[in-house]
Amino acid sequence: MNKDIIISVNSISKTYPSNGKTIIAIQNLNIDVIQGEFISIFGPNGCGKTTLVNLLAQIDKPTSGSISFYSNNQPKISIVFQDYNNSLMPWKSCLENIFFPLENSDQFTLQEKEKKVFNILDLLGIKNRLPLKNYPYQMSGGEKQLTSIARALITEPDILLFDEPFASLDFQTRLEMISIVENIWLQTKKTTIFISHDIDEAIRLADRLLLLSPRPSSIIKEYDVSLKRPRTIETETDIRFIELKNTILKDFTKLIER
Amino acid sequence: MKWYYLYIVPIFILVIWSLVSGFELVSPILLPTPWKVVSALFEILFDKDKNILFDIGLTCYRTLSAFIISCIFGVPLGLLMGYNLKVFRAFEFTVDFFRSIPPIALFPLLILLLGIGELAKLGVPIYGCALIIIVNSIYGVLNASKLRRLIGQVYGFSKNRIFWKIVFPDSLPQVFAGMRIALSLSLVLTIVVEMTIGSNNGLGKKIYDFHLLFDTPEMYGAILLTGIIGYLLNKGFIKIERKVVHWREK
Repeated sequence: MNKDIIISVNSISKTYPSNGKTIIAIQNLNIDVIQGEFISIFGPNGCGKTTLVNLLAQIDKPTSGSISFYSNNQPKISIVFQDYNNSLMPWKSCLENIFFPLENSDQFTLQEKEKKVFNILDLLGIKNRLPLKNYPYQMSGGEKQLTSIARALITEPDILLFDEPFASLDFQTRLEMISIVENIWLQTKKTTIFISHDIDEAIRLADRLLLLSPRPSSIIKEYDVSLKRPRTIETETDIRFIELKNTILKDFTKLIER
Repeated sequence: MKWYYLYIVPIFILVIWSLVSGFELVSPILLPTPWKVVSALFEILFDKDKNILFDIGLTCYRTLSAFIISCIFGVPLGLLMGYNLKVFRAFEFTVDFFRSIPPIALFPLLILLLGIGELAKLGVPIYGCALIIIVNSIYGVLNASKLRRLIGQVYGFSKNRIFWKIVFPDSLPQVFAGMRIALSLSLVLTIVVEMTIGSNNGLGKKIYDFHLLFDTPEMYGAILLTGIIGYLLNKGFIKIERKVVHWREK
């Protein structure tokens, strides 16, 4: 077994009952995630991406197959969800939302927590980007999603999982978020799994891109994205970017016409 | 929105009332003029012999204690029913069944059980309010965001902690909505109980007495007073609600 592999997903399947029928969400899906890499998973709508997220986060168990984690102990996973309105705690301020995961243990004082939050924001280079005293209903969509990202990082996770994080954001904010996420990854080299149905952001961020089939979903194809980092909006006009995008889109079209 | 929109309907009602009573289109015994009602209102508030301040105090005291007692019982039970399916199943039928019994129908039974003292009088509003609070607290928990609960799981919170850190605050807007409705109902039921047998004080009793003696202006005055008390209770509660669940509807 390769030492660098942090998660190994071995031919997992997931079925669930719905209106008396059995729906096969995932069938025979394999992924090996290498320590420190940035994986994008791209696929059509309704291809069981959310099911996959729940399985990876161990909120849910596969019907068959197994997910193995290779590290000293169970790796910590943090998730950034698409629906930032429902994922933040509306009764807590921005700062309190960021340190929310640490409220699982009572061993921190408020000052220590604040210090931890400032450290994380410093690391992300977004110290002045967030209105820390405001409540979610006083913040913009981008600020809310940044708060979720900071919250995901405060537990110092081994694996960061993004579930279509920018799907509800406007174009300009989305561009800003993409560079922030790449910057985070460059700073921390945390293993990141980025699920998206936006091909541009999926390629832009990835070291490796996995193409997911419609239900019952499995990994159809894998692409290496060897574009130079840090990537910018100009990267998206690079001939290699465009060629890769064309290849993926061709495969994708074949897939959904099947 | 123009500020005066608020006053259009009340002024309209007042004008119609003045015209109808002023020209005696209706017998003055049934509908005294607004002026007479207002002076009667001042009399029952400030005149030494007629004053009903004690009754107002009693009614407020009964309304608030019934409300608080039903919160103490209703909120925890409702939250528990919403969070724990077994507790929900155990109480579901009972709550649904008692919900269909009008609270005032229980009053004779309560008098029989508890006598004609304060306890029976409080029983009716407590019963009515507790059911509303229970049902709203259940829905508060059931409608709490599933995603937020999931986040608690992702970060390894225990079931207990998920409840106190996530589900409980998430349910508060609905819990408070139920409490607000219950507070208004508590006043209504308290007044009704005070009007019935075995009661010798309280605003409801006074309204009924004025009615029997054909002191119509005083009766109108007392009715207006209950309206004012209800309005102020509601406004006051909304103020507290806005402070506590400030994130609501935003």
